[in-house]
Amino acid sequence: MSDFAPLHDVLGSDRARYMGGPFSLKDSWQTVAAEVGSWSLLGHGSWAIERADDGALVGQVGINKPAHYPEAEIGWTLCSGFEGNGYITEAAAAALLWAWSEMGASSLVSYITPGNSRSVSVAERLGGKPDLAAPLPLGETSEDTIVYRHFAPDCDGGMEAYA
Amino acid sequence: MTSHLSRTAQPGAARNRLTENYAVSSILLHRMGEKDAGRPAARAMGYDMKDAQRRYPRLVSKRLMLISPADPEFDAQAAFLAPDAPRFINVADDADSLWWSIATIIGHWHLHGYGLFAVVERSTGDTVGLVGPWFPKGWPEPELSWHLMETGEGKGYASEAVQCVLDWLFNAAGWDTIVSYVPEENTASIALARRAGAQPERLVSFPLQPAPGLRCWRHSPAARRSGPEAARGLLH
Repeated sequence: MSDFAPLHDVLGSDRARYMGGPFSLKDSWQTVAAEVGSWSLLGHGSWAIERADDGALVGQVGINKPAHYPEAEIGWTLCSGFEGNGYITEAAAAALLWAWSEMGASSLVSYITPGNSRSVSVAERLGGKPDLAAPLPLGETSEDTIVYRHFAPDCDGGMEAYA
Repeated sequence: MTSHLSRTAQPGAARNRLTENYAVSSILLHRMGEKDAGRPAARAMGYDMKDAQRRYPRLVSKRLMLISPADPEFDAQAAFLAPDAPRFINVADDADSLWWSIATIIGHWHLHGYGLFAVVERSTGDTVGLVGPWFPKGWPEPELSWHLMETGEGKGYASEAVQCVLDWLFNAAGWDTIVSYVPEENTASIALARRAGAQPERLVSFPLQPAPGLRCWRHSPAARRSGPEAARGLLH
């Protein structure tokens, strides 16, 4: 519960403009509640990112597949004041490792609103590549959404994955 | 092997603790809505970096976590020295000399600030080997050394851990070279050195060398790729 207030500070602000926001208190609540509930429903969902030094909530990273998504997405949110530390890249890289090793996923997408250059940078730092052929969330067009795709390293985890 | 079986008797429990709470150097992840449940579990598993990060790095690869055996959260006694601990491959089964070896490996971290990492299989929490830079008195230069235990045999873990340590040494720790001393007849280690991008150099001889007929294999940053692909396999 203590994670909700700082997340609503983001979701309710202009920082959420690329996520369909700013969100009302009610819509923020439903968004966060859905991310929590996703763990029970699908076995994956969102993590809160804490700064190790002081426990401050830095943001969230999640692997979500709501009903209107054609496949599972990795997405992220950064709270105001934590920019420039690489926290999101670090957290998303950990979440991708989790997806490859625990979900058994071989690829995930990130849906990014055109113009959200910070998120594009994160996707590219993670090794994601634009996927022009990917299906889009229901009701969205290529003017609304760019798809970046992340692939699992070679699946045996052996040398080939790193060499 | 009884020890291995008994410690993995509850794979579900270990798996959840290991995978639902990731901590890397500057951040900790907990499942949304489980702040209070997540953090103690992460700390219990040694994944909360809050206290340890300043002294001992931890490396994470696809299937492994590498942790210093000097880290207070690592139980070297249980992992290596307990009567039912798994055995090292190609090492004489001698409990007395193993005690001195492990004590030396832990002390090496205190003296140098680096050393051999314990290699932990993330899915089970089992310790499966020791891999890392090794530079005791009498060595010509720092050596990247690896020792596998019977719990880690045949899974490519030595390779994965070696790659992870090389990425850390060259990308994060600022090293520009390290060698491995490999006996000429150890074809498995030679193959590993080659796959890791090492180049063969001269045969070496030094007074304290652990085996006869050692060849120097040199690792270098140029042989390794950096960037996002490497970062995917290495969080530290």
